[in-house]
Amino acid sequence: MHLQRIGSYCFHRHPSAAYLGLLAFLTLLYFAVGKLGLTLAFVHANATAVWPPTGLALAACLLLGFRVWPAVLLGAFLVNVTTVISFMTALGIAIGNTLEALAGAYLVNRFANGSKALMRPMDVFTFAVLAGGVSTLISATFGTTALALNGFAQWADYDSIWLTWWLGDMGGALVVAPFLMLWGADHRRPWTFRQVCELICLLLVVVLFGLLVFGGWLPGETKTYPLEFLCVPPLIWVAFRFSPRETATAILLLSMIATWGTVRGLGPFGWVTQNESLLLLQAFMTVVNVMALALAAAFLDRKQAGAALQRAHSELEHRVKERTLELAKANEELLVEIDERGQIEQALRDSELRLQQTNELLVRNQTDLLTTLAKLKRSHDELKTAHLHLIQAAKLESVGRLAAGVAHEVKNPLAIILQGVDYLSKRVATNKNDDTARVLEYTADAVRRADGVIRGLLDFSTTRELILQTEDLNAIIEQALLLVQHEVNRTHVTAVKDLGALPRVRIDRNKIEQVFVNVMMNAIQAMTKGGTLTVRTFTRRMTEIGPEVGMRKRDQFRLGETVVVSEVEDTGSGIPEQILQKVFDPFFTTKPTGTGTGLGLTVTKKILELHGGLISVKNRREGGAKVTVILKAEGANVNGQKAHSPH
Amino acid sequence: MGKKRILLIDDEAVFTQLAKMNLEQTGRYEVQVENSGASGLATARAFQPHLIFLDIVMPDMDGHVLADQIRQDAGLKTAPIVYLTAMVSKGEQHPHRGALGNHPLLAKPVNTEEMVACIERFTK
Repeated sequence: MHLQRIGSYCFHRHPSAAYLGLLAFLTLLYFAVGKLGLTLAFVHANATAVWPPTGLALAACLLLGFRVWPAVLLGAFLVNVTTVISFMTALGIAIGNTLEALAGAYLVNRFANGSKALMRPMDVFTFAVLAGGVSTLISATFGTTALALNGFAQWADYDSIWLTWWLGDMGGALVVAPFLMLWGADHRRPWTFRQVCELICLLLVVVLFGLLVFGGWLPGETKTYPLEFLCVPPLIWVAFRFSPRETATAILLLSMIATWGTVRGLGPFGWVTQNESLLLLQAFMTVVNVMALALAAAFLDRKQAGAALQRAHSELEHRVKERTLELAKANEELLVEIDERGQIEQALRDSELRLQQTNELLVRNQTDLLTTLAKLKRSHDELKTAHLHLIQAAKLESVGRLAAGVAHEVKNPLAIILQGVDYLSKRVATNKNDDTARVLEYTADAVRRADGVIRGLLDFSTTRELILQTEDLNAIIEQALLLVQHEVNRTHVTAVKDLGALPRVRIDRNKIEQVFVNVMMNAIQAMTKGGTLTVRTFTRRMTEIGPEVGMRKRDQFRLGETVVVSEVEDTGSGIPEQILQKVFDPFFTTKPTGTGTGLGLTVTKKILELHGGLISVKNRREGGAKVTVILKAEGANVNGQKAHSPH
Repeated sequence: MGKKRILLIDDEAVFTQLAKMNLEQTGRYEVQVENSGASGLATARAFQPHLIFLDIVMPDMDGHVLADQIRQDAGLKTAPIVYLTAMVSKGEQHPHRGALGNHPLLAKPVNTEEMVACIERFTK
């Protein structure tokens, strides 16, 4: 259709040289083939039993389009006008031939798949009926009528001429057109060498059988035997082994041989008149032709179906293979994935383990931190206590200094008051009932109390001066006992000495004596109803630092160092636990107001601290209290004994 | 034996006045008062006391210096000197060693009884 459209377009506007050349070529070809056909005209010079130009015109119209009609018209006209008939007759015949070709092409295009009409069996039959049977009616009718009208034929011969014409055109359409159509269509397949050999053999067989059956090669009377069927197997073989194209070729070959033989009166149809024999041959060839072409188309169809099936099969196989491969690949990927997942799981377990370990570590660290924190808190508390002590010490220091300065100024007025009281006491001594004596007594007592406080403060402030000498501690203790002897006797206390052999100690004799006097006085005063005062001395190696020993004091003694220990025990009521910690605090006293200054043990403790010694108080299980004084033995390094210079 | 002569050298005039009155009230002592350290030596020479109570902290002369001068004076060599001061503490007052330098010591405030005991002790 595409080709046709281009053709008509070119024709209407400016026909190309190629088109005109094609037309000229077709015209000449038509003319040549027509002349060849006319050599077989027996009934009438213009009506032949075999008319190949019909096939040529039909094939040209199908392959090249309707645009070739001028070549058909001109060719047919020239073929006929060059015979004995008139111009008009030839024109009528030419018009008939042209219309035949156009109608045939139209019908085949419309109903039989056009130029591919020979590729399917049903199309082959339709083609045979429409192009072979129907369209040829036009030419036969036009031609015969033209001859009869112009007096070139008898009306009486009309039917035989018409039939010859019709069958001749039918032969042309069915033998020549398929050959041209199939070779003209561009769908040739390359043959293999084996196929070429086989095709040549087959065509030789076809030629051989054609010559045997129609060429008079058979001996004697068998020349005219009806053996035309022998030609069928080779054709079917070609149709079976090859395509419609080779089949059409074989048919054309056979047809040419048969026509040649039959014209010479040979073969199965050679026994009647030439025209009749040719018509018989025509009928035979038409049947064989249609059958062979239909078979070829069927075989082709089957081959194509088989090939398609094969393709489908291979494709299926391919797809199965592909799918199998895909499945294998998927399987492999799955395995890899499973493996990866396993690895990931392992990694997860590992990291979980690590997390757990980290967690444990953290918990341990936390415990350590808490321990450290507790230690820090303890240190902090100790520091706080030490700080408080320092503040207190600083306060006391300033108090002491103040006291030292003030004492002299206060004591002189006190001395005056006391002298004044003495004087007044003597003056009023005669009057016993007078309250004045008692008032004066109270006043004198108050002066003594005030003096006691001042003296305590002075003691406290002067303790920073140490005069260190190597001394016998036991002797100092004996002296202290002598000093408190009066008090011991007064309170009916029994004093017990248990003094061990001691190394010499380097101390301030007066200060340490004051310490023991203070401690012993406290012990005696705790035993208001009598009791036993025990004084004990011994040496000891420091094996442990008691909890009462603070960090600062810890520096004063080393483990394993030999120390001198003195213990002063009483059998009194002991010290209540809640005030045990306060006994060394300044101005803390359990004695009735006016009896103690509250500075005795404070001064005592300070003296020992200056010596690098220790003092502690605790209650005895048996009742009463025990004061322990620890001093370094001589030779041990005493820290800080000269820490404060005298004023 | 007549009344013992007691010299009281102290810048506190009120105290010396009262102490003199109290000691003389016992009827056993003749008391001379001197309120100036600088005049102390002269007064002592003139008075020839049996015992001298001597203050240490005085505005015009230190008690120790005066004590040394008195000790070096030929006529006063035997007279005991007892420091009577507000400077000492109780611990330094014990009789067996209540001495500053070579002299015994009494800590203010003192009552008459203590002063008498002290005089009797060092003037036998």
